[in-house]
Amino acid sequence: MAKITIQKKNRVNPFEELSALLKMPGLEAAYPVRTLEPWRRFDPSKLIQPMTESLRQGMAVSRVTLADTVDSDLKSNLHSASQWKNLDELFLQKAKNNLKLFEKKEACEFFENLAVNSAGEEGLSILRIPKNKSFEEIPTVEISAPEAGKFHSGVFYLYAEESSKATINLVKKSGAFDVSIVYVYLEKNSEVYLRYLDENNQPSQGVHFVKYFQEENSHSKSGIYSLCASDNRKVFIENNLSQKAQAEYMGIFLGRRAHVDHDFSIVHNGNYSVSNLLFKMSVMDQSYGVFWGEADIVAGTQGCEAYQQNKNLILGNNSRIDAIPRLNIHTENVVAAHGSATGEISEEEIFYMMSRGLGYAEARKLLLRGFFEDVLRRSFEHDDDKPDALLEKIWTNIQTLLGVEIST
Amino acid sequence: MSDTETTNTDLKNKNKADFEKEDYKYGFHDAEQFVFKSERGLTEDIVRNISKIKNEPQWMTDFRVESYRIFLEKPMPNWGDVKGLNSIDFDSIYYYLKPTGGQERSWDDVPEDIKNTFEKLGIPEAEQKFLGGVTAQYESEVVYHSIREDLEKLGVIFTDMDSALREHPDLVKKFFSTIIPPGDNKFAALNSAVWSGGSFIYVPPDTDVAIPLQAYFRINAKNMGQFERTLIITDKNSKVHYIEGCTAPTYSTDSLHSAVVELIAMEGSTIRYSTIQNWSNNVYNLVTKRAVAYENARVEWVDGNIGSKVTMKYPAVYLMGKGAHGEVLSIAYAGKGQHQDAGAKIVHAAPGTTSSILSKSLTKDGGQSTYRGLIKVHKNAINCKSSVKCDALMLDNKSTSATYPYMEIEEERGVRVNHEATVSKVDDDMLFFMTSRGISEDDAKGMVINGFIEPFTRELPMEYAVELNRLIQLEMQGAIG
Repeated sequence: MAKITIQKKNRVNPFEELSALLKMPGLEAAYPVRTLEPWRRFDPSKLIQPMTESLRQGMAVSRVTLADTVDSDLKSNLHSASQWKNLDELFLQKAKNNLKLFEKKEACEFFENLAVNSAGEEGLSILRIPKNKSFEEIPTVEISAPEAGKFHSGVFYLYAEESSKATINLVKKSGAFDVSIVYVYLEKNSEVYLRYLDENNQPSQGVHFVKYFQEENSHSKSGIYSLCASDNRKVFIENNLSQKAQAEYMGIFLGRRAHVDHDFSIVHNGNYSVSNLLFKMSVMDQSYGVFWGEADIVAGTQGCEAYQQNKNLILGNNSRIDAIPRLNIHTENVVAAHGSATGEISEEEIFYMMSRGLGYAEARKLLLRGFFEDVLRRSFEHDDDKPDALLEKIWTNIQTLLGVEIST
Repeated sequence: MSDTETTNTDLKNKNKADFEKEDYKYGFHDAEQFVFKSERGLTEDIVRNISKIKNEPQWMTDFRVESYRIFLEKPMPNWGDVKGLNSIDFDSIYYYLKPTGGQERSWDDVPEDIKNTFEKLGIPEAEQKFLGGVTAQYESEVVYHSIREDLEKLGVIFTDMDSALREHPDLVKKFFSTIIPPGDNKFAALNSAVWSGGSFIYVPPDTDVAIPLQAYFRINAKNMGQFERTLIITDKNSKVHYIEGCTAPTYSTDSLHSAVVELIAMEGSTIRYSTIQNWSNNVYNLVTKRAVAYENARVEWVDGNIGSKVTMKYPAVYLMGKGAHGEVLSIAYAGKGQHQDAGAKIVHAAPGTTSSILSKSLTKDGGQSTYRGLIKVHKNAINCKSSVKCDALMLDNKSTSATYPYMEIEEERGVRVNHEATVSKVDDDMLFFMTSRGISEDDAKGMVINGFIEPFTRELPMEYAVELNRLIQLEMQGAIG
């Protein structure tokens, strides 16, 4: 492979490791493909080419920002690299210790290292939810690519201390190629609700990680909304649950000319931990959606519960859905179940509505709306009385992608 | 397998202590007596030699040699029970063992020792009762074969694969290895190189074979590899039900069973293929089974995996014609040291095709059971429906159960694909309900287990269903009580 010069921009090149890799006969060789099962759809070599292309254009660090309107109390807890000095030493040490939380999949190691190394300290932002603190306000954290057409990387670290409580909206805008990580660490009895919107309406590629680690009795809720056009990306969502920890996921993937893999991996490490996953995919215009849902219940645990539900709607020709819900159970005292259904909009349901006076188009719109609303209503159930900006944004994105007006 | 009446009364009279003594019912073995035994390990010469002994046509010899080359080139699968697969020592296996001089059509003519073996297993009795034909394979060769005269008159061919190659060469050449080519996987290549025995069935158009045909496979020798090859062809609008059973003695060294089964269901025909595999737990059971169903044809795999050390078996149905239907019903029991990696594969390649998979698994004493399945809907295969259900029942906290279903859907018009799976233990409420009504906990658990596998057993002929229930009960004796 020809030597690639990486532009240096007033900071130390964090890519020494990468540069070494680039000199190797092929990047593919550096990637531990051997650990992938043959049926696994994620093909890293597909991403290597756009990544090297993007690297030639230079690198930039994704910025993590909070809107100006956000309460200053909360704002003071977001620490970008420049504000690290504001963090007390003890916390920083604790946060750093938990930074690389767990390595379940060797396959993602390469990209994860790449993200952490290339973002460097400059690209790492920590949002700290202090002990016993509960934020009423729902702030929107933006991870955005300041320089279009470049390779981006960023690490956002959400650290919820004991008995704290917060709801965070996370909006991500991608550059040409980006590798980003969201680490969420929940200490005992804390509660975090993260709503993660990934909107990509420009051709882009990337690998995302959302990694959770939950201590005892903590409760996480996640909304994952991947609304993508002309996109090729892999999303890893991992969780490691301690005793009595609960995790709930509600996700949507809507793709137009996009190929997105969502790879969930939930490990039940503690007794009586509960996970509940609902994921819906809808694809059109040569899109390809993959749902990989894995629940592990490790040996020796008691009373764990794992539920997975996956529903898929194929809307257009030349689209494809792969659904792979997996259960690995190593103990007896469990409740584990998964269900998956794939199909088109049911003609029977349309007929039912048409026989009650609705037009075909109207009936179809209602069914489409119902498909997404199921997830969104669960995600935004506490905010029924006041309009939510993020929800509005999600509906707008859905409608743009579908090309029809379906909101009420 | 089907010596049911005597077995049942015997079982009833036995108490628990007897069950504990008796770990594997078919674990006896007879002294090895053979007219030809190949050397250990596999070389091209051995492959050629097998072909020569069998006096095969040149094309088959070439096919074997080519398959042997593919076998050497193909890598070992890197999924499933990788540890188990890699521990197979291909050099210590006997690939061909000819036990007798010839094949008999009358039970009385079968050599005494082999006859004794099969009589212990209850084969002749089962035949008299309800079977349309029986083939018994001992080591590599079929030793006994019979078919009812009325079926023979109708033109039904039921014979062993070697005879079929001699007597119906055109038919065999036309269909042999068309469904599973040697390049499919390492074990299909191995089978293609050294295959011996197995059944060949051809059912002519518009013929309904109302009574099941049966084959029985027995490995007796140590370190033996059994590689039977089965090919079933049902012509237009015909119907057949084929049953096979397998056992082996318990040795401390491992044996390998690697069969290839090809089913071809022509327009409007039906094939039901039932297997109850009860190999002793030193047998690697690595089988490739695949069926092709043409327009409005129906293929059903009924697959019971009770024995073996490692089983990797995924019966497949390729639905190639409009309105074809594929069905897989399977049950797996994994006890101590066992890994049942079983599942099903259905490919919808034509419009209006339907399929259903029902998989049940039981694990106990550190056993491992895995369901691994694929539903694939190809482009333009409109109006396909598929439903998959897998349930696992875990009987202790040392065991492992995994479910890996894969659904790949490329068409949306009228397509419905459903999958559901549950993993649980025996419900305490159910046990409480029954014990409070005077049923002992053992019996109550047994009833829950019988109820759990009932959707499977009701699809078997009655004699087999009773036998299977007994088998499971036998296996469960340690766990319950």
